[in-house]
Amino acid sequence: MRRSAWITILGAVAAQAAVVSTAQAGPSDAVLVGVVRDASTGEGIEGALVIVTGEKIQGERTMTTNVSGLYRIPNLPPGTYDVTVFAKDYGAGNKRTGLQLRAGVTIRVDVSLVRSGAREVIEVSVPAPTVDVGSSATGLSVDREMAQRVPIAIPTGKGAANRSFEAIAEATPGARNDTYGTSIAGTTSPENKYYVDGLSVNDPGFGLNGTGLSMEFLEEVRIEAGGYMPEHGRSTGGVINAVTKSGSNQFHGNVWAYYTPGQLEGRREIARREGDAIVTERNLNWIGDAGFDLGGRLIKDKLWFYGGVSIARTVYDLTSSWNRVALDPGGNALIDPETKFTVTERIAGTTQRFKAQGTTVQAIGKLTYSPNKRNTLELLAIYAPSLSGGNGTFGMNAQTGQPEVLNLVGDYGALARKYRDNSTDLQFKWNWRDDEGKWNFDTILGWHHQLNQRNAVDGSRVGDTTGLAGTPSVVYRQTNNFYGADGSLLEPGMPGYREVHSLTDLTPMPSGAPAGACDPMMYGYTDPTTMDAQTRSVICPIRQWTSGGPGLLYDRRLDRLQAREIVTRLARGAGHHVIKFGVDFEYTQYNSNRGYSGNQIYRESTNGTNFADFRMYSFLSGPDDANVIRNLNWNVMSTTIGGFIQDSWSIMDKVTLNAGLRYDAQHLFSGDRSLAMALPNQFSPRVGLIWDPTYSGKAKLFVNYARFYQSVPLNLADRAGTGEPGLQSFHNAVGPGACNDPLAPGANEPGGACTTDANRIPIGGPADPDQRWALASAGKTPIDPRLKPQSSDEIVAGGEYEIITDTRLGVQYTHRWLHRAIEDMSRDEAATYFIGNPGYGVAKDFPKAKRVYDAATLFIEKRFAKHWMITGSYTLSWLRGNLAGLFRPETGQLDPNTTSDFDLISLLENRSGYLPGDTRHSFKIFAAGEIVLGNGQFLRLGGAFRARSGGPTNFLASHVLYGFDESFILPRGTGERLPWNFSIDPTIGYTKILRKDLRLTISMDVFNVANFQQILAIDERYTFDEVNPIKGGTSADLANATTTGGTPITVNPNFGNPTLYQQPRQFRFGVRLSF
Amino acid sequence: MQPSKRPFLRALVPGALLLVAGSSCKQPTMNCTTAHLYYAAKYELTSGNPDSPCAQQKGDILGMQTYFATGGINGTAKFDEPTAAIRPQYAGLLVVEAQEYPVEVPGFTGEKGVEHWPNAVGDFESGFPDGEDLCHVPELVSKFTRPELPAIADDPMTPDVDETAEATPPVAVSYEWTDARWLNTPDAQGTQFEANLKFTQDDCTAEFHVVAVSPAVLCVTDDDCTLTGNGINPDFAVECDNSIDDPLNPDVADDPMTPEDETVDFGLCILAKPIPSYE
Repeated sequence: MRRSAWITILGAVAAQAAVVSTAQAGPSDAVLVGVVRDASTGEGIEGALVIVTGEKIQGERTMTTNVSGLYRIPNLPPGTYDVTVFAKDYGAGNKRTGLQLRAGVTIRVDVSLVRSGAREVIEVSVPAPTVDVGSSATGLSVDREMAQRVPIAIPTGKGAANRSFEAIAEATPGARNDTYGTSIAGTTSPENKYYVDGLSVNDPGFGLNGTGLSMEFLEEVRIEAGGYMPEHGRSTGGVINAVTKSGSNQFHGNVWAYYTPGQLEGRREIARREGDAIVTERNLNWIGDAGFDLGGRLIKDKLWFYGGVSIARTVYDLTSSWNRVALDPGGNALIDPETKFTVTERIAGTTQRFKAQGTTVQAIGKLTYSPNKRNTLELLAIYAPSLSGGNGTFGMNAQTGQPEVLNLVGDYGALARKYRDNSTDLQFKWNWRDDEGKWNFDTILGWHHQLNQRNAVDGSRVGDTTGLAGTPSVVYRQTNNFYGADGSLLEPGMPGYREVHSLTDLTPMPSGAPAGACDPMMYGYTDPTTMDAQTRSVICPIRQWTSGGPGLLYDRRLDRLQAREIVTRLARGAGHHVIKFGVDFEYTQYNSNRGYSGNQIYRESTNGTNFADFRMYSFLSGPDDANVIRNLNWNVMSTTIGGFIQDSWSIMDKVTLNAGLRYDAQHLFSGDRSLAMALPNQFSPRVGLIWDPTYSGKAKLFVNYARFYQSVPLNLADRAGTGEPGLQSFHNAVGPGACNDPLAPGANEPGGACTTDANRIPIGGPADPDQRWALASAGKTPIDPRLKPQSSDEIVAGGEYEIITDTRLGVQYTHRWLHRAIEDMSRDEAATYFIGNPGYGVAKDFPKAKRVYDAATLFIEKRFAKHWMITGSYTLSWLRGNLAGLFRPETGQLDPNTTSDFDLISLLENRSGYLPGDTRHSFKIFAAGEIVLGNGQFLRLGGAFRARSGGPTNFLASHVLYGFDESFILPRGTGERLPWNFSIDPTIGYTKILRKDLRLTISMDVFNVANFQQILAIDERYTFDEVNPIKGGTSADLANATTTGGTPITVNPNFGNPTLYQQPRQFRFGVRLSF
Repeated sequence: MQPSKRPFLRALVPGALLLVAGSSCKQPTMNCTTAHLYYAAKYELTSGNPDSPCAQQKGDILGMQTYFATGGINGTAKFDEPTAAIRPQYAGLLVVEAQEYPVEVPGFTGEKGVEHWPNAVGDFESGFPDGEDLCHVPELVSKFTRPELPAIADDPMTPDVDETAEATPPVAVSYEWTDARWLNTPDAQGTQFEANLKFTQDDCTAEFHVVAVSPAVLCVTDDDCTLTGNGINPDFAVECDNSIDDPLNPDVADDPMTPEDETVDFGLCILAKPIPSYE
């Protein structure tokens, strides 16, 4: 009887347990704070002993309360904990069990004690609060449980084969996949900050995730979408923190294997195109991964270890075939009346099969050492090598996770490359805390290293003079011409008559094909738009073909050295304070050695009379005195020093005020070691207010303002900050001794037909100091002296309520807008460029860079308890502006802060509107449950459901200087919206407990079970012609629009046709043995 | 030292580190360079007989280029050791005339060296602009004699056409540019130019003060010089000078056969003020 009364009291106390503030210690560790009070007087009890034990810490952590009864136990790895409190005259002890601590949260557990002489320890099970009443951060936490039970990471795409943590981040409300990762809160993926255990693993060159660690090695992934505190900085996107597993006193481990066979793939919708003689189909062959991990103790309560290895492999089939123009019995080309495409027929015996494949190995090791109560030391090492391409296969693009080629229009040695992409991470962490729990120091030293190599498939590398690396790449692209200068129709043999190349001119026909199947023959062709009757002869036309070497090769080595010291001080004064300050130093280095195979890419002119030095690193040292740079090797670097101070002030335990300031200064240095760009004075204020209207930790209302500054990746210091000098000359391809085949023996050697000045066509005018060379690019791009760093501002507000135990319902509103952007610009139509802030300083007459994101989210989250969990969200959002972020989604151009978005004044019209990431509605539901079958058996059920409304599309044309798709004929986003798309990804599994602590799980995930084949992208190229933007135009204006030359526009026959469909249905089978 | 003070001292470390790391807030200065597109230059006579034939030039189109010394890092250029070249269109056309002459011109082989006769080349004093954002080249000189263009006889194979042409005497020109300076800022990357020019043709010498802007824009009125997208930095103070004639874009005379007045007096957009010439 007496005991139950106690429990009643403690039950009331438990309700006071509340999560407080994100003023966490380490970036991934949790903190437990609270006050021990006398239940009758409410006074704090001084000298009470608080003991924390748990699987994830060595021994126990103890703390005595201070004069006000306050205790604070920092640096608790995410996990489940027990807390026991002893106080003189207050019985034998009070124990809270089952406190679940998630990464990075500070949980507050207040304890009220009743004076008694009891002799036994009172034990109460406490569900940890779900409403974080001290934090205004938005985002999502995905723990191991959820990641294993719900098929979040789709098997294709970046980091999908090994289910990397960045693929998981897509589950965050409002997040979506983009070309290079996961976009959060309307930003682009390179804007995110990626951490593994607090170690920054962003690619120093491009900002992408540099270490795509598998979810298998992680305890939890925490995605902070917005509203985060000053300790996080250097990012205008989200903060994605992977928390690795740790060892413990018990031995635990897993062995797993997952397999996605291509044979079970659903039917793939093929995007139809106006025909080329080569058609390539891409199908998944298989994706799989297998691995194991193990954690345990080396010295009980002192030294723990954790380690694991995984291997993942992706294989695609690329099947290409030759196709010829289909003719009717009258010898006229057949035109599909519906699509206006030329009908083609497959030539038997021409099918060629290739594979695109890549293999990634990941190894992780971690040691945790706690010599005494005051110190914890941790050493983390990750090594992740990755290989793809070569030996008759194509490579995988490490930045996108897709095969490197779409259509096999070229020689294998020219299109395929061999890639090596390694990442290495090493981190040392030291935590020191004083006995009273007032001071806490965290020291973090880390090193992230990347090696990214693109070599020729024969193994030759950048700078080699033999093999494919010593062979230039040649792009053939002769076009049709059936019209004379006066517009008259030309016949074969007449001057000016020209056809595209026949495939057999460029490559031998596969041996199995009937002889002569592609031999030229005269046939009639009626142009479906002009209805002109042309005479053609090429029956296997090819518009573009690449021969010779592989073009750009590189050897990039990137390093990121980090040192961080964070001090946390617990204080009291009108409530409780958690004051935290620290300094954060980063040095990044990017050694980029790149070059074009055989020094250059030759590109045929459209009329076939010459070859241009399309890409060649070179510079002039005197009039027409060209110096070719075989491989351009720059070593650029950056330093960033920053500091922050923040206070999480709990006022009367009802309202929490989070306030702080962060300062960063980044300096980038050129390849010649001189300063390339200075970005000082990045002051980021952050203020948040959280109020718990229930006064019991069950609800909160919050509002937060923050400014975020973006760290500039080193690609800018490498390309714009140091210079990529390039020249062009044009080699005559007509007549005896001409450069008609750059791949002919000796043609590309010194004095050869393609390097001799005699064959260089004079291009200079009377006033040009150089008569045979044109400058393509020179040295450094100057910087606006008034340049300010790129930054965003954000306001988030919302509320949450714990509707039932373990379950919270919430609503959030996010308004985030770009404050300033850094971009390169030209005020004189590409004659000179500078880097500045569009709309400010030198670039004051450019429009300001705009990106405004508004999102309202409704979400529910129930963590896994009582055999089931659910996380669901609906987001209504708008994304408007004229700059998507650090890459250009329309073209995939990844040149952070130097995209072509603001380059020319003539390109700027019509650029404001709905950005590519604009998705009005987005639903995401992730659920999992298990049915107890008895006898140690469980049936696991779950799945993911996503629904998203379609994005905007555009009417694009070519620009005279910048080429295709750079001119917005109509304002951005005026095209028809893409359709909604849905995917349902159920999972079913079975778990059997074989014996104590040993369980076997088999599972089957089905992605896109209904095999929806909805359109994800369409061809937005309205025309290949050069057309200037029609200011504020509508689709009605298109009919009267003309090219810059004043002629009518030829509409691209593929305009509006689908270019990308949803991934077809895929099955993933998994088996896991865990103990 | 009491143990309780140690944490406090350690807490000072972050602040101290921040102080140590204080560094530059200024952006780097750019390398000296000329612009790469043509310049429209105004020639103002400063010395010489205003009636002499060589003093008649009111301006010209100038082509310029910047070259860099070899021997930089890893086989690249030394971007801080630039050299400038200036090539007036007037001199270039003398060479073109010989190149395009229907018959071979004795003493003019058409080799690469001939192509470069009109280039005046000189080294920049420094790789970086001075305190006034100016980059200086003390002297650039080009001197050449375009040989005589021989007389052409009628081609008996083409009875309908008379190809007869008289010989054109040789022309000796010399351009001596001194105190050449370019404005070099992110906003004007060598696009404003000023220099003194001693021009000699055969036995006639005149001296000019030259101011030029890049790119060269053809104009009829001042408004043509401030059109958006014409390539001239919109902040520059520019005006149309109709007295300068570009022989490649000659003025249009009135057609007496039509009632309309077709006259167009083309000029070039030039800087309205000495450099730096800003609105």
